Amino acid sequence: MALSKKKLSESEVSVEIDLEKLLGRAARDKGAREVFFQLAFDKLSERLDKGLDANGKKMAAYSRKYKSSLAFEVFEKNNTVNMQLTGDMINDITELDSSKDKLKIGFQSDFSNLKAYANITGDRGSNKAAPAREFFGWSDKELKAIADEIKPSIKEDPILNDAKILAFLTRFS
Amino acid sequence: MAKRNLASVKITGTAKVRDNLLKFVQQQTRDEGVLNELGEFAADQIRKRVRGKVDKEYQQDPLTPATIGIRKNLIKNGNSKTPQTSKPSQSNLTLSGQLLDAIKHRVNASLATINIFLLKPRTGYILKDGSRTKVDKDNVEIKSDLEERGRLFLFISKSLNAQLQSKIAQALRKRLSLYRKISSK
Repeated sequence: MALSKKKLSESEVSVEIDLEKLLGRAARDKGAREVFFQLAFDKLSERLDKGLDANGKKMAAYSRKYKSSLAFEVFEKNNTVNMQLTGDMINDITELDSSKDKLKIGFQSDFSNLKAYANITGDRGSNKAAPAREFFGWSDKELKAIADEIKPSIKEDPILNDAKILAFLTRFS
Repeated sequence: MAKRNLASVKITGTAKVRDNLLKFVQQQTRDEGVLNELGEFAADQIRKRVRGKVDKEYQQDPLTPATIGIRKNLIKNGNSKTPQTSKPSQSNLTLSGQLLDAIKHRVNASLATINIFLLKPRTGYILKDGSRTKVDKDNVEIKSDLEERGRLFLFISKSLNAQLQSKIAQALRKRLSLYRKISSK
């Protein structure tokens, strides 16, 4: 059975990860959840830096029109399709309301959500076809690799500093 | 449903050319390395968002015909920062690039503040004969003139603010002992 479930609509683009299957009882540990999220985000970023989608395939190339645009020149972009110009969409990725044993990852703002939907489906609301780029999500292999990295260290007691950091992170969410 | 972001970012303009970017009170965020990275990122993003015309808040009003005419000649003489896409009518506070390139940052780790400011010096434009124009005003004075005309640029937009807060949250997560243990393997 899959370790994650995708949702794809204009109002919500998200992935719900079955943390209990991956981490067992530690799925409810706040520190472990935050680290899992960060490692998942890091993994996504690494993949995007290589221009790969959630299935590990190269994403469709940029159009000639986009490559000759002012924004392309100013942001010093190259041919690697990394789904980032300002970075607003990718850095808007956050944990959404999740049940205790699951980790739901999606986009904080409605605008980023719409952008993500348009990029993933190629549906930009016009008659002109745009390439679909399935950039958001993680394979079961990737999720297992993240869980395997975390599991050995979870049993150790958290330090006082961790409590302060987690309290501050709560203010952001 | 997305969780609301409760942290706030304060921008305070002062009589001098400094704008406070962020204030933290937690010890974890007094890391000079983290603050420098954020400051550099913020300065770079303001520059690129204004110049690249990709953020609505930094959008500038159209130029006057007189300004367009002046820009046309200056671009012809090789003064353009973005030669491939530069147009005389382009309203993005960029010709030679000196104004936006003068946006810098400074960190005070003990107060956990990042200041974004403008360096004053600039050089004249290149003329047809290869000589340069005289410099009448420095970048700070130009900024004041622009602001009087409603052309604002030295601030943190809502979307840039959101991204900075995300980066702070990422930096905090990476300080959790579990993350550090995994990363150090």
